[in-house]
Amino acid sequence: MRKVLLLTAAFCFVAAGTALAFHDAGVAHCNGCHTMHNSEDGALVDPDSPNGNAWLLRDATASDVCLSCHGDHLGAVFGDDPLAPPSPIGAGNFVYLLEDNLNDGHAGASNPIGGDAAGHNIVAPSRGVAADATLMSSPGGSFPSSSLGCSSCHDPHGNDDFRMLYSAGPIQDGLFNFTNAAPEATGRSIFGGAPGAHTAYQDGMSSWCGNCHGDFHDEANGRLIHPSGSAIGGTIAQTYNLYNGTADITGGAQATAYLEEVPFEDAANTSIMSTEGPSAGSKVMCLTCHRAHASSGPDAGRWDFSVTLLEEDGLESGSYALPDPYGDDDQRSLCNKCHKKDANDHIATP
Amino acid sequence: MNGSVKRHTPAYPLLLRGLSPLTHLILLALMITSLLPARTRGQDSSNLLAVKAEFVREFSLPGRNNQLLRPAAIHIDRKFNEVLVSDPGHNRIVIFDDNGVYRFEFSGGEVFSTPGDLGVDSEGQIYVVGSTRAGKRLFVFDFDGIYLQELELFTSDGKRVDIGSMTLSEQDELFVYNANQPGITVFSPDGELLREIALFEELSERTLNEMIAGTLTAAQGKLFLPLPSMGMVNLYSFEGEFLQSVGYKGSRVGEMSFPVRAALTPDGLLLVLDKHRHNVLCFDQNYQFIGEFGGRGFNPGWFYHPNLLDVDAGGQIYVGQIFSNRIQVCHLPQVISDRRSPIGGNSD
Repeated sequence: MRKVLLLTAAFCFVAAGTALAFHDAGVAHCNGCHTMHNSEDGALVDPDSPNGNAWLLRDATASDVCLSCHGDHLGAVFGDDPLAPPSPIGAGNFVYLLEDNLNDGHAGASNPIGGDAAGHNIVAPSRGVAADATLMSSPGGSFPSSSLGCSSCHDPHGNDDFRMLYSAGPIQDGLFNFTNAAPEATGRSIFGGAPGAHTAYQDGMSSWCGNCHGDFHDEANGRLIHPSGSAIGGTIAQTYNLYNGTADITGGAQATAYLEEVPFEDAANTSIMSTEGPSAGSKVMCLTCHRAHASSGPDAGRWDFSVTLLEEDGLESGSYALPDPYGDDDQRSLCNKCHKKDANDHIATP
Repeated sequence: MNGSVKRHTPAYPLLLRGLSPLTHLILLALMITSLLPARTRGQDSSNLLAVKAEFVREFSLPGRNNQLLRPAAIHIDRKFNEVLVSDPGHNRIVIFDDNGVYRFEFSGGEVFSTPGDLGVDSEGQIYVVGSTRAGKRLFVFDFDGIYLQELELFTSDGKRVDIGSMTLSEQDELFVYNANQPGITVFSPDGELLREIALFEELSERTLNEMIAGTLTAAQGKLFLPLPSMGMVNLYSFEGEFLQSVGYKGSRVGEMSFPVRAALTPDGLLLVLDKHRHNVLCFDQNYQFIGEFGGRGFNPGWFYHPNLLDVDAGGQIYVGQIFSNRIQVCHLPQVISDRRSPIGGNSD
């Protein structure tokens, strides 16, 4: 018994002494987010829910609390202005959910695609966003749109996984069950990073997305769907490495080929500063083409899939133009980073 | 409470049979404690200090399809009794009178895409922090909303100020909280650098990284800077001298969970908007807590993650929030107003 007490005391001392960040070793104070009886000093904490909220939360929508710190600061995942978003890091910005039109395809101005299509529609009324108005559940799966929030993917109590993503097991107090483990990756600090720093994806992202989206990108049974979570093979890897923009499709080199806008998974990706391109065993994954949070292209595209030239982005819709990594007026879709279909599309400049 | 304890006293010996002497002592101590007045127990008389908001009205615009969309700032021009509201969803500034009647509006047009903080100087010029693709910038409009100029704000070492929030003093000094290098930079109304105030030099880099600042307010000769992550409001002189902190972190009555804005009533009461407790905490002229009003809810007089606060010349309190695009006007509840100390007095 004495041993147990001593160990407990030692644990408390160590835990207290580390004084880690809000989520690192559990939250700072439980009642920041939870209330045990929906009552404090005789008054209802949440008068609109006299019987209390799920998970004893003080608020019905946890994302509103998360975004108080992480909206404009500490990662800044929900900026103020969809036309002037914070600098993009990894997962993209939820502010695009506020857009009224994302359609930069032909006649896009008169055929608007609303912000719902920009990405994951988290329920955060304090930011003016609600559940997806089009999709009732996750495409390819059955996660209910009405319950989607920050804590559908991130564990608010902290864990050791990349970005505190949930691993296999029940989430949101049993609302849903993840069957695949959290992905392996290394990300830049939410406090900022050196220029050129990017997320280094290693393994498991596609299967993790599949927790909610099922076999959305599964080629099995003869389905003609772009693969995800598969090795790209030598030909694609070589194309990626040589591709240096529409104007220079074979001038690249593997040592400098990495393009943050078209990332890939590889166990060798251990440095967030790496500029190394892929090898045959590297994998294409969901986030090779999509942002996890949202983007100003439909379907959370890392680039707008419906434009011919990247410079056309934003022209029809008036939405934020996703930056062209090559800075070339004639640059075509970034699908070409792997597929090089713009080989004969060089526009002769007088 | 006393009656309740007496009713149960006869059962006490029966219930406690078989318990250790230590347990008896603890229970006895608890019983004695429960008989003491609340203030003696170290707790405040909380439910007397937290009251409902006294709702007056809600702002609305003329026309069915013409409402605010995600209001981002309220500024009360006490000199001209006007209420200015930033309306990012329509990229415009809307001006009401202090009865909530719509007066006029002007657009950010091609100048900026999303308006934020607002200020009005003594000549009626309107200062708007606007979002552009190059970042947040400060723009000046005349009192009719005609665009005049952009103020280029630089620190003494030539770096552009990363505008976190902006406020204008009664003396027409512009105070800008610098988001990147925590500090306040002071400018004249034409953008001339007057002085720089370094803040939080004593904090470690880690603490600074995790610290979040609310919206800076200049009022009655002082600067009020809410620190949501720390649960307090720091007060500074206009020259940058740290004066004191008000409040402490917590989620109970009188405590600050996530203070985002501060405002002063004309007679010097300090009001602090708590986004996570969905209410307004009130402090007297000596910054002693005297009560709070509001709370989470969706009906008139209740708030949901409020983020805007100001007070007009008549003492009416304006609370705004993005959810439902609401700006509500409230009176300071009488029960709180009655607790204020005489001006210059001491609440202790």
